[in-house]
Amino acid sequence: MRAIRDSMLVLRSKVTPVVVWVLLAAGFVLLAHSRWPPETWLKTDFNALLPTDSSNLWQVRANAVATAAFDQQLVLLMTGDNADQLDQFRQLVNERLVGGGYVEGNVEDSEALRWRLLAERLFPYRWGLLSSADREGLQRAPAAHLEQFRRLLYSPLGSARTSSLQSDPAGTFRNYLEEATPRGDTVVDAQATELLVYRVRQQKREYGVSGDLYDIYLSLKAEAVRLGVRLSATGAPLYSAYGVRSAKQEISTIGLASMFLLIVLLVAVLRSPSAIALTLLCVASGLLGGLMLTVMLLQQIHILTLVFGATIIGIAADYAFHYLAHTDAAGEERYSTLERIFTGLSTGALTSVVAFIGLTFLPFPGIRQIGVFMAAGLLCSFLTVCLLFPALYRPATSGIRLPRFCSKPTFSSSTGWLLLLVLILAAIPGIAMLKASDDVRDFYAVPGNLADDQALIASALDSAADSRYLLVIAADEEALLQTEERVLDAARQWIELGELGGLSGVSQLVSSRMRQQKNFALQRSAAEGGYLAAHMHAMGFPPELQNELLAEMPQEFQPLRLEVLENLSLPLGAGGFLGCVDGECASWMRISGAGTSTALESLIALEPAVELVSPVSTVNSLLSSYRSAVLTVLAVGGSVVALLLALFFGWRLALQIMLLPLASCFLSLAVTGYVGGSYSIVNLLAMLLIIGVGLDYAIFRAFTAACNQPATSLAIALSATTSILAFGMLSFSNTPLIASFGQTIAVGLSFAYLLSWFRFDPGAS
Amino acid sequence: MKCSRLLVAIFFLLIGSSPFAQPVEQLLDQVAQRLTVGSGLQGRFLQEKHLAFLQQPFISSGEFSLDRSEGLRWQVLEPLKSLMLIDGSRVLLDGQRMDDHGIGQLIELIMLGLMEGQLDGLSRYFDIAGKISSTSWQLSLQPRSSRLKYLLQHIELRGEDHLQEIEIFEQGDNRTVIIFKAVHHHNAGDPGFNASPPQ
Repeated sequence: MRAIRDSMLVLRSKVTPVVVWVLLAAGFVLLAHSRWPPETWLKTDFNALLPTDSSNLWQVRANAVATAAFDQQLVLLMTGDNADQLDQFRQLVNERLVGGGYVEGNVEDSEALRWRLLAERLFPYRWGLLSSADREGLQRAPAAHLEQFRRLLYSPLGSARTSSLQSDPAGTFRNYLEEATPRGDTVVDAQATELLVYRVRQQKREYGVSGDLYDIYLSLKAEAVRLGVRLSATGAPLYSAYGVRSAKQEISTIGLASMFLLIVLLVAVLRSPSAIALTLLCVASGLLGGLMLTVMLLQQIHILTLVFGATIIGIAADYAFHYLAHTDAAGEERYSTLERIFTGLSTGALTSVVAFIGLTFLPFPGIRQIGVFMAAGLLCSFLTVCLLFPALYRPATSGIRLPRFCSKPTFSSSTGWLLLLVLILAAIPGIAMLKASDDVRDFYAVPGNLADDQALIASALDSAADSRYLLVIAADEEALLQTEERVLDAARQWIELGELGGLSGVSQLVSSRMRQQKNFALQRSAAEGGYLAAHMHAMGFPPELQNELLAEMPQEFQPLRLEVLENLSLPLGAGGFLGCVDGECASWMRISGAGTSTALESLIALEPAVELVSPVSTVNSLLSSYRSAVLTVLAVGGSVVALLLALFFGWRLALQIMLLPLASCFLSLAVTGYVGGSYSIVNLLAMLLIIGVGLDYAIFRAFTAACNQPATSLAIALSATTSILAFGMLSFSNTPLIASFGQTIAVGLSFAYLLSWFRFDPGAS
Repeated sequence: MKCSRLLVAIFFLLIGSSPFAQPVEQLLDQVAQRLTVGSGLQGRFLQEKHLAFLQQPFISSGEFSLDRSEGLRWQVLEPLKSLMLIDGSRVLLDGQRMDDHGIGQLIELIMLGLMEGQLDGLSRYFDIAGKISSTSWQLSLQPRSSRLKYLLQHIELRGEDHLQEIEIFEQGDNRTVIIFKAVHHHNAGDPGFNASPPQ
């Protein structure tokens, strides 16, 4: 209590609070200017919001590498019966996407360049590199194997092999690279088909323009129908574009609607231009303060955080309402209103800020951002009310005319308590019906047209990537490569059986030392045995060229090491080396096409060092553990707030105050149980907000004298109306994550408002 | 005056002999009319593979047969015996399945189109130009898709009542010339026609 009184003394000191506010705001802006990130700070990638399991270093690295390439890819599949129409449409697509600067050229060109650069690095070591078929053939019968290669050259199929023949007379290096190449799609299809893969430019994936990509997709779809072509498109940039587009709409809809309702309420109840202006200033300082502090601290903010942030309008206005509703009449001493409500106002703000700061301790980037944004924003709004309102607000001469319902006494009859008991008993089955749901795919929206397109492209392309991958861990690089090779050898039979689309790993680019030595010995033997010379002679190579090629073979084995891949951008579809840390090395192997669980399980069973990782399952299990963590935060946070209240105001009052938010949470969860049957981390996060706001209501009631309760009733009514409407509007969001959040809070705050009319202990005030 | 008339005459002469002189549909119709159409085809071939770094080409020869239901059977007899079978997307060389990126299927498509006089399918994959003289015709096929462009530069087809020559211009200034001889139509059920792969 002494601390609160000291605060009031500061506010009433000679230093004008307005100047303090201006100085604080100016300092804040200057600090923000100095710490503002140089690069784009508004993020749109949904994955950036999700938690990562930092306990598994290799999974974090593998997830980052595996998803990096696909985050930029836009895949278009065009089918039609008429080639000319398809051609015409392809030109239109290029005009819009390439001409509009949205994408780099067709990714096939850059992929061809990557393969060429990789081939240049590996070529000097070619004597130790053989495909499995060449290794078997040279081991079994070198002459017959080389003859079979000449048969291929003599057939029309040899056309694709001739370009590298001069430097690779037996075609072994080309075969080695082809074995590492993911199975491609053929150039011939039953229908006229065109597959275009683009890399979306970084600057076109930023907030300002990424939504345009979805509009282009829609317009191209319409053009395709007109031309008789079927267009399907998929890729992370397109999903992000859809997300940004709907988020933009929702920010403007929810933000404007909340602001409109706020102004209507202020005009109807307060009827004062300065009250409206100050309330808007309070809200604006909350929004800007939250935004600036979040970007300063985290160097970024996500578009979905801003969607959540739009709801700060409803909460920040609470403080303004509480002040304005308690202003009596013109001529009242400037700081007497603030003095009267300061305990309730500061306690309410403190408990809300503590509740939101609690969120920042969770290792969930999206939730951490929301915690920082809301805590900072509410603090700024609170300071604005305390520093500016007493100096700048002059009530109308007649004071605020309280609506009639505000004058009704708070409810404390035994009938009311009985009704509350019945309500809580009725909620118990709803709570019992709740089941935990932790599937991240339930959080974000996929519009029907994109989902259909994705399914069509996945079924059309055998080489469609699986999001799962194999994680290989071994004691050193050699053991790692040997493990991969055993897995790849075993996978070959599953691929032939059609049980596995394909599997690629870094050992297909850099073989293990043991295998390279074996390959070198085989090629050396083929050269020394005269098989290679005879093969070249049979093809008509001039003797000098034969000698030159044979002389290139080193006398001693020169191993190829993984370092050769450093600073090299590997082609799409290849697996990768993850590095070595503390005596442990790891790599990841990409699964392409359909992989049955039988095939994958048998591969894992072969090698204990190999693990099948599903990024989606990993995120889901993280969500599950974070759900438990949020429950703990709720319990701990609630206990801390109760302890603080008990410390300052006694345990009895503390328990009475805590009863309102806890009962609201309980009833809101019961409604979720009855309506949906399942709850997720999102519902629990909503509980944090219900506790924060519900605490405000209970505290405002508890710290208001009986004669001032009508003003508190007005403040709570205004606050509840704006908050319930703001969060209620979130429930119309296209993004399930936001909609679920909004619904839970709207229901919870409705209960909180209802319960705020119950007077637990009239003597407490 | 004389000079300008000469220029006009040269211009029209060039236009007349240009590969782009006629609309593609008209060109393909005229070629199709020249072709003797049938349900099966067989004959002999001579293949020359000219590599930029070799003075002498790889030469191979053998027999082929083609049928809509059975596919293409390509048997090299000299200098090394081999058998290539193409049936839709399935390509086998001496019994071994090949991942040829669709090259074999494309050859089958071209040959089937010319056997049946159905050339429309070619324009799905190629930009087509060509010329027709009183006795022969020539088509130039430029790949449309970038995937196909990586595999070959362009294809030239020459013939009279049958396809007589395919010339594939590959990457690296290499080219393959396939010359067909003794080509004649055969029904699949005719004695002597062998479109089925040997057991």
